[in-house]
Amino acid sequence: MFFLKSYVSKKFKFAAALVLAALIGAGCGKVKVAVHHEEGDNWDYPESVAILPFSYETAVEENKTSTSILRESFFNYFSYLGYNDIPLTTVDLKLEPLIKTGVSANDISNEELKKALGVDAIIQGHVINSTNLTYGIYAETSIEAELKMTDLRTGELLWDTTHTELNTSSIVTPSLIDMIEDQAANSMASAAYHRIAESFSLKVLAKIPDPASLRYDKIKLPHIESVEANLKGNSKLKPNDLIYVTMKGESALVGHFDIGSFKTGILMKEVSPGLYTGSYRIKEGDLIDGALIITTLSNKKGLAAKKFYKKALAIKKTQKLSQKE
Amino acid sequence: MNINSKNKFTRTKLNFRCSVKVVFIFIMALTFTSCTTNLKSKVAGNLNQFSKQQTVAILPVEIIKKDQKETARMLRQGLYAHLKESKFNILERYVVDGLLKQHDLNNPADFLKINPMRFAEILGADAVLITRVNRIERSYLVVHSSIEVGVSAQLVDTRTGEILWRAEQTEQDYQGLAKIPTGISSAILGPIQFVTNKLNLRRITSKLVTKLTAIVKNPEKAEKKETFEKPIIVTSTTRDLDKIKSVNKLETKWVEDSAAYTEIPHSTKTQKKLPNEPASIGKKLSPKTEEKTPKHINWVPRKTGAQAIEKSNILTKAQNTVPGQTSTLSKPLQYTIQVGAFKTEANANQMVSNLLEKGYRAHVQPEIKNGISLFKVHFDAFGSKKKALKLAEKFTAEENLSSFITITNSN
Repeated sequence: MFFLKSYVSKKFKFAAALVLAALIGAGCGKVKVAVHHEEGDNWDYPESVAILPFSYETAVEENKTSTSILRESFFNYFSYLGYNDIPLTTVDLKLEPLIKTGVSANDISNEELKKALGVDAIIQGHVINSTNLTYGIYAETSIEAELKMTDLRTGELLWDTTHTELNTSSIVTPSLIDMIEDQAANSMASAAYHRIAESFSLKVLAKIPDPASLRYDKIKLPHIESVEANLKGNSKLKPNDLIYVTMKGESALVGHFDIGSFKTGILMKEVSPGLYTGSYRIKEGDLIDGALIITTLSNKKGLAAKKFYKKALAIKKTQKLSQKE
Repeated sequence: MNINSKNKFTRTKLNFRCSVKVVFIFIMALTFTSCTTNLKSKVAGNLNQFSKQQTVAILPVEIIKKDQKETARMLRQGLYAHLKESKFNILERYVVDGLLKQHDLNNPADFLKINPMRFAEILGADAVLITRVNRIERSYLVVHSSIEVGVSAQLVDTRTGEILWRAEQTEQDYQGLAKIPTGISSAILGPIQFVTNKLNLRRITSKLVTKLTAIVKNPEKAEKKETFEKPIIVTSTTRDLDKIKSVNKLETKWVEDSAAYTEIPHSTKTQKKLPNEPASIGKKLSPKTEEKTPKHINWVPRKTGAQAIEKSNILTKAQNTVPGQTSTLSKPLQYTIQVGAFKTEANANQMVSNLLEKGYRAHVQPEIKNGISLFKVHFDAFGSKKKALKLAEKFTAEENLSSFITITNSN
């Protein structure tokens, strides 16, 4: 009896230790991000940030696949924070002339980067190691990388981290079904790297300073004063009629108007400072019935203001009516 | 080996193979059903037309209980990350939150009640994504534990109020005997670890977002059963569009009716300027003397506003000279704002009810001239013409309806 108790107790302890090991192995490791600047209301945070192409240890073949996945995933989740993130394709396009000369993105000087990208800060990444193994009863996917953010205005290192994100599945996994599932999922390398990159990004981003709340009161959309159109209440439109729209607002911006959601992005011309005009000629088959005219004024920061012309809706003449007349 | 024992061996071998097959099928079935998803998602045909330049604002997630806050944050973060891969231009979160804060829209529970057109003007977005965490349930029963997350989402075109995408999803996962534990301790510890580890909730939320957004990222792949049969417009927009339509209709009617009686002009040659009245105001309010006289009506031109004022002034002065006499004419002048004049009372009543709804103290003022009824719509009364003028200007600017000042105390 004593032997049985001792056996059960030993087995229980062993299993508990295994579960604990599995938990640690399942990517529960904490991220340490070293923040090198003072946060708070007076923080002169960078507004625009570019995530440069990540470099990797070429000795590890797997790194090539994981590097681009990690950069993309990090960018997608980074957009949640209060920075203006430059699309990756734009960054790559702007860096192309510099990288073509045989220099890696990490070797370009801060001055050159600032000039080429026109951003306040950059994020650089380097993938040290990555693994994707599936051995029947053991599966593992991991990414080890270092990331850092530099303020291009001052050259100051804002934060940096080196983190390993690891996901394993083995005999210590609590259930057989989970084990089979994990093995099957891990065998698809690209999807497995996506999952681990997502986990990596979420953990790192949770520790990065976020200036979102400092920017809330500073957001100002372009100002639209008034909108006028040549539509009158209940006036019916027929093919070849011209909808003419004018908008008064802030000068030197980009204006356009929409007719409901049927016809969008009709460009308006700034005919005099702050006065924008545009027109659209109705075509046969246009679905404009009951639509409102909406004008949009956008600035260079990508912020747009909208204003509806509510005095009348676009009402299309029915076939019968037009035939009568 | 005799025939009997050979048959027995073959039978045993067959039974074993059959058992292996059954176990394999059972395990595979469990594997594919261990994590269950219940997703109802439909898109509008117009979602395909939503071009790359168009902006989508992901609004803060509504929660029902306080402990859902973390999941709501994870859900929104996941939506940002996944919809970055779509063809839309996603409006930055700090911009959305900042603008909502500036307009005191801090409660996500109110978002569904607000006309999406208002979001267009507040955020400058072409569409808004409104989401809610419906439930997060964790259950633990010694050898079995489960986590269930339920969310709903709605993408609305702010220009038309059309629902572009609507989805409701429940994602569930569990740990327990049904998943065949690898040992006795796993059977006991597994469910505890599963339900207490925050990573599992994150993993389930992540899975949920991936499945939820799949159709929005590729709306062209939506099957017929996943597409709305006809466009669905949110109630708040339909209501506001109907209001605009009815105001337009009334305005048209009023213009027609007014044209039949008198034109409300902006300038006149014969009009005398009122004492102490700025020239610009006098011009704006004084009716034209050249009136349209419809042939089918026995037309007698009505008094112009300024003429009436002048006459009233004279009469008031005259009455004041007789002490003790009381009459409506002796009362100080009362100015009111006229916003419509109709041949049919129903039209006038409709305009009044619209104005009352907006908080204006409007009423119908019937008049009979030469046997023909005219129903004027007035609101408010003022002792000072200046005050009346100020409100009339404000009214015209806000409601896009023409108005002018007239005198109310004439019987």
